Order: sequence, then structure tokens, then C-alpha cells
Amino acid sequence: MSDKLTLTGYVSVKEFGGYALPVPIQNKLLKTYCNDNNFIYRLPMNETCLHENFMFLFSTINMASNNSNIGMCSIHMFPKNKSKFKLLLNKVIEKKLNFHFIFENSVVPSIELKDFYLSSRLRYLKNTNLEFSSDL
Amino acid sequence: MLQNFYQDFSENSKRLIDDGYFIIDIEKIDKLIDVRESFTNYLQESHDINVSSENLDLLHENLSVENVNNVRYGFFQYINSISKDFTSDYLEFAKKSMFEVVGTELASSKMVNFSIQMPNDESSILPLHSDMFSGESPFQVNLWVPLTDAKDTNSMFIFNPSFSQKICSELNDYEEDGLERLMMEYKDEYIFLNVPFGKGLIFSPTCLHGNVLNTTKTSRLSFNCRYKNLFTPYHKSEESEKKLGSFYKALTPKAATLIGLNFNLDE
Repeated sequence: MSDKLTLTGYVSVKEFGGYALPVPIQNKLLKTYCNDNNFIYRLPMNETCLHENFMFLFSTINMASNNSNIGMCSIHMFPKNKSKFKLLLNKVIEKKLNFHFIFENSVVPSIELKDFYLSSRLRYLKNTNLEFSSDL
Repeated sequence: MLQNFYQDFSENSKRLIDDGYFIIDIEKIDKLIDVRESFTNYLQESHDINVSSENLDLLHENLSVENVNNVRYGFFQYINSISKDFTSDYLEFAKKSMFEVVGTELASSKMVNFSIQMPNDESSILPLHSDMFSGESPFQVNLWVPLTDAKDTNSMFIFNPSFSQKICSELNDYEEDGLERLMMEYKDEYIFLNVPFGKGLIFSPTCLHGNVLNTTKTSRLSFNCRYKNLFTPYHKSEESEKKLGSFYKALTPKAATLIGLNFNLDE
């Protein structure tokens, strides 16, 4: 019996953080990441192309075992909508999931995901009078 | 649905519309046997695994779940590279049927996919989905050909077209909880397809489909490739990869099309 951990992938056809990366390329990156880091690669769910619909990210998290690992190209693949992120975050914390973000070169445990996500939002700040809200 | 056209359709065409799929005899069985032989040779040469062609459904006795994706991906690359155009070779398995229900000027996905579903392998499950979710064309059909007998949970399941359309049009309602519960709640709306070696399945991936944990005692190995009419629409969003050139390629354009592409009128 192998003692290797499994990493479940998550890929998307949507633009994320300024990138639009073909799914086969995302798969190759994740597969290489698993080989390099001694994980068994579990085939990913492919997100819908529907704007602001994250059904397969919800499903990936809903179906994950406690303390398991989920890999994706970037934190920017999470929804920009904060209330939707909060729904996901609650599930992530409850299951103590670990996220592996290839572009950010980071492994983020559930308790750090909120800060990591909020930091990533800094990219989208513009000169404005609005305050940056972190009411998650 | 455009009843005047429908009434003149072939039986296969009507089945595709009404049931979402039909099953055919492979048109060039000798070529399929050759492809199956290619896989056993690949297993031996690249992974030092010896399994006879007739016993491929026992592959799991010689291959661990840990290595299944390496074998799957390795053969996917190998089979798509050994001939000039494997999507074209693969079309030969069902060319008459494809021309019958799609047309003669075809585009295909750029590569033929390869799947391995071994008993109790959770890492290869492809959950319930429609190919339209990722922006693929609703005008395409999928040619699915097994190298082993496919049945029960080692095969794929498909929901009927009317139920699939209903769910797809209400998809945002399922965002948070997902579609998995449909399998439990609507058992009469889908079936697992029985496709023995030597047969092929043509289905519309507008229908919800996927596979579950293989609880049989046999492995299933299969190919799949999408084919559509070259001139039916591609996804409109700029960032979508599901377009001609990135996801699809022209496969069987005809003379008049080449003339049209090369013609210039001084404006």
C-alpha cells in the first residue's frame, strides 16, 4: 500500500488573475507539481464557463476528505464575490483542507486561507474612496 | 423540434435526439484490435507490465492506483503521436454513423482522450457533468470506444436529454450543493451503458454524464473524441479555449470550402 498523499486538482476555463490558461496546460502543471512533490494526482473537476458560477469548486470541496489536499493554479481562481468566498471558506475550515497554489508557489492551510485570499485581492485595488473591506 | 426535418431522419439520428445516444458496430474492427495491441505493447515496453489483449479487463491486477494516471497519460500521448492524425484514424471506427448524424465536413477535438477505470479507483472518477459546462459546443457528439467490455459501474452513465436540459437550464440553483444528489434522487433518469468490445457509442455530451466508483471486478479502458460540423458555432467568449485552433481542428473540409477560403474579391 502506498503512503503517498493524494492531491485533488481543480481547473477552470475562466480567466483568473489576468490569465486564461487552457485546461490541458493547467492539468500538466498540476501533474508535474504532484510528481515533484510526491503526491498521487487525482483528476480535477473542470469549472463551468458560467460567469460567477463556482459549482465545481463547491463540489471539489464538498467531496474532499478531512485534512486532504487540493491543488489549483492560482488563488485568483476563487470567486471575487466575498460572500461566496465566505461560504467556501467555512467548508474549508471545517474540513481542515490544505490548498496548493502553483503560481503563488504556496501551500496554504485552511486557517491561513482567508488572509491569503484577502492579500490576493490587493491586486484589484484602485484609487478610490471606498475602504477595503475584510468583513469575512 | 423542427418536426419536418426530424421525420426524415435515420433511426440512429432519431435515437440520438430522443435518447441522447446510440450504439454501433465498429466499422473497422481489425484496426481496433491493432490499437488494443498497441496498448499492450506500450504497457510492456514503457511500464514492464505484461497483460494479454484479451485480459485487459484484469489490468488492475498488474497496475496500482498510484501509477494508473501515469500509464493513462503516457498512452494518451503515445497513441496520439504514432500516426499522422489519430483523430482521423479513430473516426474510421464510426465514419458512416458520424457522417449520418453530424455531417461530412467535420471538426474534431485535437486529441483522442484515453480513460482507465479500475475497480475501486477513486482517483479516476469523472463526476456528473455536461461538456457544455466548460464551453464546448452543443453541436458536437462524442465517439466513445472501449478496449474492454463496458457495463454496470465500470461503464459511463448518461441522463436522458429532456432531464439533462432541465437541469442545465437551472444550473445556478445547484451551485452550492452540486449535482451529485441527482444520482440518488433521479435513478430513473439515467442508465449505465452496456458497450462490449467491438461496439462504439455515439452520444450527445449535452446530456449529463460521467462515471462513478467502479465496483465491478473488471477494469474498463476506453477512448473518446468529439466531432462537430466544422461550420457550427464555437464558444463566443474571448478567453475560451474551446475554439477552432485551440480545442478543435478542421478534420474533413471539402473542396468548395477550400475554394471559398482562398478566394479574394477586390473591395
